[in-house]
Amino acid sequence: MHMEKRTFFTSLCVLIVTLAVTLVIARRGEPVVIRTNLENLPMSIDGYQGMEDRFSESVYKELNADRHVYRHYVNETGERIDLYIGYYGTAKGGRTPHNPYGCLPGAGWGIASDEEITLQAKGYPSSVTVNHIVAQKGMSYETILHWYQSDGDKVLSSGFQQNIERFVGRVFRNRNDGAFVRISADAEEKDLQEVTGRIENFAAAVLALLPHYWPEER
Amino acid sequence: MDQALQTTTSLEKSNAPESPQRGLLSQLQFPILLALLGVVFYPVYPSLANTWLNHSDNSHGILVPFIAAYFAWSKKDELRSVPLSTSWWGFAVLVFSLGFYLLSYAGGIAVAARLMIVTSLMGLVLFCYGREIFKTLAFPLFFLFFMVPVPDTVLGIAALPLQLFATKVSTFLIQAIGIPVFREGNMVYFAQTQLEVAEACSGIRSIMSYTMLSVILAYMLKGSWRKRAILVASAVPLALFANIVRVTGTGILAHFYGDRVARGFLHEFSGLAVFAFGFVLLFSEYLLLSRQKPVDEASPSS
Repeated sequence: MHMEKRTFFTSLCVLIVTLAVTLVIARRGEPVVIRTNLENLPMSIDGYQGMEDRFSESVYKELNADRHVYRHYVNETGERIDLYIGYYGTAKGGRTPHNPYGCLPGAGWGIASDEEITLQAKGYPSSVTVNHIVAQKGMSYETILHWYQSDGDKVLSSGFQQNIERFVGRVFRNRNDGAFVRISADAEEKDLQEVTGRIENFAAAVLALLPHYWPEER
Repeated sequence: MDQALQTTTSLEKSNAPESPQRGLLSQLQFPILLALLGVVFYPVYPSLANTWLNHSDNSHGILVPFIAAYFAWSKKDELRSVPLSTSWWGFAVLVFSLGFYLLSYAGGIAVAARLMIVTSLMGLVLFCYGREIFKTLAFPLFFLFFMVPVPDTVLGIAALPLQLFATKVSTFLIQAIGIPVFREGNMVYFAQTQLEVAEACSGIRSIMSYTMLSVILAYMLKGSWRKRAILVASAVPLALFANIVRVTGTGILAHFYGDRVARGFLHEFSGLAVFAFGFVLLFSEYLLLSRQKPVDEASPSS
């Protein structure tokens, strides 16, 4: 079928220019994680002593992160805080496919409350916003703080913010790696507030540490 | 000067069909552009092929370009009689699509980059051959969207409620036939064993392939738009129904034979059997709809 000469050459030019720009972008390459670092996070934080733990292999396979940190931190009086960090490098898209809003109900937990709270942490220009969930199953409660962290010290509470940050990071720094951080503790109804206060302090201490243990990519 | 140019142009135009060399060149124009468009998107293909081949939920995507090409080919006689023109709307679509592709590629948004393959092809056809040709090829062009896998994050949003729904309904059905079970979230506890209704069992994964099949059948259906709409709209409930049949069936078998029925060969087999069952239902619906003589068949909308 015949088309106008002008149409053909205009299309040809547009496509050649696009191809040239594609090749320029492709030259940046895809960064690889060379040091995950997060596993070196101190075992002693804020008066708590850490202990490594593992999920079952099937959970790791499902989560498919570049690095997991799963620890139980216990203080002198035996109170326990759980820490989980799942780090995803740029090649893995910088984010986890799972979040508490899906996984808690799937495991039979109800989400009793869900709100955003602000924390003050050392080394951050202003207060940071994280999510606070209270999960309930029968008479047991779990109080949970969770957020996404990117570029060392960028803290994002919503998935939407995270997507914007991933896009901007990739365009300007060719890097959009990120971590999902979850800090939680079991509680009873009467001491929910006190336990939440404790994990907030612990979270602030972790937040202050994270930028110093941020993974390296090249 | 202008006039002289115009004369040459009109001369060239009138000569064009007679000269065999020009004919060959003009026949090569679109294949050249098409090939170049294909090359431009080269960074998108490895991950797209990987998603098609390694995630069984998306494997129908491989077929899409071939099905679209077949439907386009079947239009070839019709295309000869359609007047050719140029549409600058097409140019706008082409430039926007390619620009957005570059941005998505640089920003690492795979799904946007993949969608732009389809829209830039649409823009190119519209620009080079005009509105009438585009209309004639609209079905195969729009059908190409099926080759782009729905991102996991989007699926995840809808998967959870569907997953819980499938678990609840299946638990109810298993109880109804007298097998004692207890449900907690997506875990189903039997007396001897337990089953997890995983995200993959939500039924959402088969929704896309059922929808694609229903769209093909609707396109082939010689009937009113209403009938076509019924056919396409039934794809989603059908996919969910077939999935509940599978989860319930697996649950009943698990009660008697243990949780091995939810793994390996048996699980794969039940998946295929249930998919075939769903397809037979969809095809029966197509036959039923095409058999009925509608009153409005002669209306211009059909």
